[in-house]
Amino acid sequence: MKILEFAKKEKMVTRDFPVVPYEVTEGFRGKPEYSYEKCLGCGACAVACPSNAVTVKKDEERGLSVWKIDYNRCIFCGRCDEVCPTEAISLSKQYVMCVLFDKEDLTVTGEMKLRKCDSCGRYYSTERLYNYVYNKLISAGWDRATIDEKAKHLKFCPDCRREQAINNYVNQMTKRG
Amino acid sequence: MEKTEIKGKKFISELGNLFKVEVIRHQPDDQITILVDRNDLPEVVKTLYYKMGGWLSTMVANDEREINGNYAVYYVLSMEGNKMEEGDELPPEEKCWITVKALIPAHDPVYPSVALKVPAAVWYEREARDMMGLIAEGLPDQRRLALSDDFPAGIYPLRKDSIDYREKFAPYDLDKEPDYDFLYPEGEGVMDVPLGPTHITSDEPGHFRLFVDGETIIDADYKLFYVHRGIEKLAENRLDYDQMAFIAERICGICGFAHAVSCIESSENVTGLDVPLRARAIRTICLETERLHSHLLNIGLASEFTGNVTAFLQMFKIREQTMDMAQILTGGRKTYGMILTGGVRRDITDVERKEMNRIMDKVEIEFKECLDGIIDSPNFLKRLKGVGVLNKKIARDFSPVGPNVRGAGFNRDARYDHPFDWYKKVDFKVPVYGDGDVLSRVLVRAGEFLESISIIRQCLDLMPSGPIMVKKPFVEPYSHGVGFVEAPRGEDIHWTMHGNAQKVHRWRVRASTYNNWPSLRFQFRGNSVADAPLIVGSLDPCYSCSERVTVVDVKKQKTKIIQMEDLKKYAITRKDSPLKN
Repeated sequence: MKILEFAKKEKMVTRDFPVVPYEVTEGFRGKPEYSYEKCLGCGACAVACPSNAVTVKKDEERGLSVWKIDYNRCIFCGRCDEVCPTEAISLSKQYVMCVLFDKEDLTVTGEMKLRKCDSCGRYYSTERLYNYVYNKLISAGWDRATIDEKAKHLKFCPDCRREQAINNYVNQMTKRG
Repeated sequence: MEKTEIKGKKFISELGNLFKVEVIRHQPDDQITILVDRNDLPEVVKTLYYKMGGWLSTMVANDEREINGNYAVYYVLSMEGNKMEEGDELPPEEKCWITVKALIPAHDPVYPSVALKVPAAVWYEREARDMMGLIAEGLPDQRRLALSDDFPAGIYPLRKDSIDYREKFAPYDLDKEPDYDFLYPEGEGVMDVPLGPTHITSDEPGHFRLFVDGETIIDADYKLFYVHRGIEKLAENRLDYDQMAFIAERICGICGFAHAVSCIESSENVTGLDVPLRARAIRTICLETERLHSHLLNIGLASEFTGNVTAFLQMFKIREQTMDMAQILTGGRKTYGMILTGGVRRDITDVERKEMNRIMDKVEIEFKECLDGIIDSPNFLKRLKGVGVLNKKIARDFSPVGPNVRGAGFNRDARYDHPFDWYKKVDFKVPVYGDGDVLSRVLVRAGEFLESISIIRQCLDLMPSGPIMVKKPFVEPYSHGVGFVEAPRGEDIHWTMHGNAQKVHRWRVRASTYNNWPSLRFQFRGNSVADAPLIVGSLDPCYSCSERVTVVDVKKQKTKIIQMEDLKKYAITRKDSPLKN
């Protein structure tokens, strides 16, 4: 039996798995790790996620934006990692994900304060996202007046912003006659 | 992309002499769509199939009531030549895809059955009736195919008005799931939607009925489609082209990448998107890596079914290294998550290239030695030779694909017939064995394994530098196209019609094994019951497909259910037949 000769050539290849962890290669796509400190709550990951593992929901009563990943649904494609502007979510090399009894243990949640629109008072974005964009404007190196002018638009929700733009336009037109 | 002559004009003009044919094109140069009257449909498909050397690749039933007020059926034929003898095939410049379209009025959803003239269409037409409610007049087999037997009549899941799209279904909480209790639709508004197509691969249940005379199988029947996952319906009007690839690759646990490429290329082909050459080469490498581990699995299984467990384990030892290759390429043991419209997501570095080459050298030597050890055993040859023979004529009638058809002496291979991606640039042979038995299929797989290694080597060496991704194009609404890939199990076809808002209107998945099932019945005939798992396994669906086998003894009129475990044990030892007593 030639096959036995072939089998003899190599010694045992079975690994002592749970004791000696299986080594993954560079660039392995494992469990996405979430960093609450870096997260802005922008929701880019939730839009990109093909399997709806990442969700961002508004909790209007508590004024919070609830970011949640459900590892039960995750397919480890790494789209969230690609689109995240602040690297708040990135794939790790971890692949053992077992929980006992409670499926909720396989979820990670982050809650962020929502920001109200200055005009209509409805929640429209997170405080963190507002601050992030504001700081970006400052880092662009404009003077105070320009920054204030530009930041004015940040304080309103998209609906109000649209309304204001129309109003401004109408005002300009009527002034001109 | 350079503009070439539209292929297939010759066939169309010949057809035009016989029938009223209107050419409509929404597709790239080697794909052509013709519109015929529904009454001409069987004759047109028959002429294309038998006279002009077409093979039925897929058939799509589509709900186009919002576009033109009709239903439509599309028969997609791959024009390759009859291939019954050597050299009997079309020259490469004439090979193309011809889609025959017929409109079916919404008030009268009936069309004459093509399956009477071209048996390959039988499963497709049964499925069209289940899912879309289009009735093929004269269809020989009137049973349900895809829907379960207790599914309420009159609800056709793939019709556009069968569910309300505004309704969002939350993921189901398993704790709240009611017990299995069908026949509940009572009163108005109750709807039960079994979603999408199924795919016959890993760990899928299927019920086989073998009709035996003593130990010999005289006929067989099977009911599959127990796991209907709803992928086609899921995609409709909801998924965009980036998300589709990730869903498509979940169709199969083994040839996932083939499905993703096929799905993405069905939209890329329509727009004529010029995918960067480097991305094409990487796609080719991943496809071939997938073939490596799939074929090792199947050759291993063939040994296991014949009782050679050592060989099975040795094959898996080699296979583990090809899984490492997949990990280097894509970051996962499976080639998942690599592909988006317009290219691939991950490049290959020089270090990775060298590592791949190192592994491949080792795998190639080990595989040759191991295969030599397996083939050398007379027991193995005796069990495989002359078993599960696929007759050449039956193969021509039913359009099987992959190693199944190549083991029966046809050199059908999508990589060779319709070179896509990087296959135009590499040299490879298509291993063909003419006996049509299980041994031929194993040898085809062994030959392909070595060819795959050679293809990967060529790709790694010749791969140009450059970008790996281009911007997503705008896809014209209601254009449709075919995406095709040679998966390890055979040609894998995705047909997509694009809808508004860059979402999918209709997505038809035809996994490789779908075309292999209808002819399996003929392969069973005349073989011993002990060989049944081997024959099913040689098609390379998952062997759990034959989980439960009912054996019906024709003479004694007795029925007995045998567990897969018993049958497998009998297949290995050939002692203590479970049929006794």
